[in-house]
This record gives sequence, C-alpha cells and structure tokens, in this order.
Amino acid sequence: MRSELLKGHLDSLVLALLEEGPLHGYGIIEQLRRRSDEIFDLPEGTVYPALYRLERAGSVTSTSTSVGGRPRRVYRLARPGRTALDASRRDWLQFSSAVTKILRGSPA
Amino acid sequence: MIDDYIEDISQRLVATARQRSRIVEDIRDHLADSVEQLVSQGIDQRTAEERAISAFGSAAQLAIQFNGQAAAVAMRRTPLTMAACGVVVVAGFLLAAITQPLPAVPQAASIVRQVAFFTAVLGLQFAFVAGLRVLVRAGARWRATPHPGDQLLLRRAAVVFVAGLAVAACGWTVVLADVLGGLSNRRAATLVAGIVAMISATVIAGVAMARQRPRGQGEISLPEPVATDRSVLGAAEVGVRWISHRPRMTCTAVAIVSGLTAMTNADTTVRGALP
Repeated sequence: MRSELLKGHLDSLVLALLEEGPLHGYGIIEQLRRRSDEIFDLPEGTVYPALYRLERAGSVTSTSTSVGGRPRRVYRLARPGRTALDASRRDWLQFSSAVTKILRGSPA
Repeated sequence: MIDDYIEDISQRLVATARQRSRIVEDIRDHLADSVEQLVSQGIDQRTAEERAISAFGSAAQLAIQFNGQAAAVAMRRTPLTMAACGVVVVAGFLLAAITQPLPAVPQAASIVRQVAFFTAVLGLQFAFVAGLRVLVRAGARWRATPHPGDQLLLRRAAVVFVAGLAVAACGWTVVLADVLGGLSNRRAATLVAGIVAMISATVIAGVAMARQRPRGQGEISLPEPVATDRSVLGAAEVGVRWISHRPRMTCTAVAIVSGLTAMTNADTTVRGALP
C-alpha cells in the first residue's frame, strides 16, 4: 500500500494500538505490520514523529524504562487520546462507508 | 554502521540537546530490537544492521519529518516569546522612566538624548509593525499546520522585530543613562533595573529567534497552507498583509510621526515625552 495513503491515519492507528496496552516504538511498528497482514509496511522511523506529535498533544504519555541495560521509552494512551480515538473512529466509519458505497458502483 | 546512521540523523535535526538525545535514544533502541530480531532469524550481524537501517527509512526523510514538527512548534511558540519580550522592554522603559524627577521648569534635552530617544522610538515602531505581523500570522496559523512560506515570513519579521527591540533598548538606555547622574540611589537603582529588563528581554527575543533557524535549506518540509478565513483573525491578517506589502512606507510614516511628536514636545526628556 502506498505510504501516503496511510499518513493521514497513522495517528489514529497508533492510538488504537495503544488502547490495548502500553507499547514501545518497535512494538507499535510490529503490531501495525502484523495486524494489517503486512499491508501497512511503512518506513519504521515514521512512527516516532507521530508518537512525539501525539505526546505533545497530550494524547499519549511516555515513560523511560531500562530493558537489557538499554533505555526504552514506553508509550501509553492518555485520556485525551481516548477521546480523540473515539472521534476518529466515528469519522472513519462514516467516511469509509461513504467511499465504499461510491467505489462499489451503482447497482445494475 | 548504526552509529553512523544515527549520527547522520542527529546532524540533520533542528532540535534542542534534550529533544535530540530523546530521538537518538528511541532510534537506537528501535534499531537494536530490529537487529536482534533479524539475528535471531539466522541473519549475520552486518546484514541485519543494513536491513534494520533500510527498514527504518532514509535519514534525510526522517529528519524532514522531525524538523517539520519542530518548525511547527517554533512557529507557534516563538511569536509568544517575542511578544512577551516586547512587553518587558516597554515595561522596563516605563519602570525606568516613571521614576525620573519631573523638572519644575521644562528643560531642553541634550542632542545626545534627543537623537537617542528618536532612535529608540524608530526602533520600537519597526519592532511593533514586525511583531504585529508575526503575531497575527502566527495566530491565524495556530489552528492549522504552518507552511514554509509562513516560516520564512516569521523568520524575516522576527529579525526586524529583534533588531527593532535592540535599537529601542539601546536608545532608551542612552537616554536614561544621560539622566542617571542627577538621581538619588533609589531612583538610579530602579532606572538600572529597567535598563537590565529591556536588554535581557531583547537578548531572550534574539535567542528565541536564533533557535527557530533551520540548519540547512531544504530540511524543512511542511504541508500546504490553509486559505485565510473570514473570522476576525482572518480579517486582521488581511490588514496586516496590506501593511506587510508596504513595510518601509508604514514603518517610516509611523516613525516620523511619533518621532516628530516626541522631538517637538516642549520638554523632550523621557518623562516629558510620555503621555
């Protein structure tokens, strides 16, 4: 899938993954790939600008831990992030339903 | 190999030391995980590092994404910092000026004081117009992602703003220093506090301006701007855009009017020139 198609939705996808539990950057990319059946295959680094943007907006929080002697930052969904996720879910369902109706073509 | 890649990204980042360290930490942890995963699949270390770097993305493209965010944040914060500095400069001037003794008999100011005061007023006019331009543009873009053109405008206007503040602070400093000799210790201390406030605020505004400057051309990539809307903010922006297209004329007209007003005042000492 072309990565630009995904760009506008990356924030919502990250929020949706974090809704299920805290994750670090690598974990998020892995989940994105696995849960989309390898369709979402973005350059892995693109998840970090999205995470920093979400953190700045207050949608996620992060804590630094140590794993195997190296520092690791784990991201969690915050309350404003949950609200944003609910709104983006509603918008997406409405949008995708409308697009599907049109792309499917008019019934013969 | 990973160290070189991380260093490459780090060199391209427009970020504070703290932000840079955080980004580097995240990337290093990510690549280490990625390499571990690939090595556990039987791939040799060198190939695993190459693949991990390739999957992470081009250093230049990632830096553009990080820098785009930094630019957007700077565009929103810098004008506020500068506005606060402008207020402090004016407050510092007022603090120093209101403590001056009002002469019983109006006295003619020295040439140095008149020229310095005129220069200060001129500088303030430039700072005011440039600051207004920056603030309104930044306000209109607050709700939208900034555009590279906005960033360029902000940078240019910020230079004029800081230069104007610096001239105003220096001019006022000369004016006030000229009257410092005849003051009591308490008044002199207040005067010095005002001068220090003005100069400090100017330096802070200069630092804020310098920090929003990108390292290299082409490093910032931002989406297209939104059209100016019909809100009050949009209308204000239209007005400021009109001024922006005629900055020299506007600044010169305002400066001449206010400068002449100040200089033709019967008492051109600082207190005499205040309303």
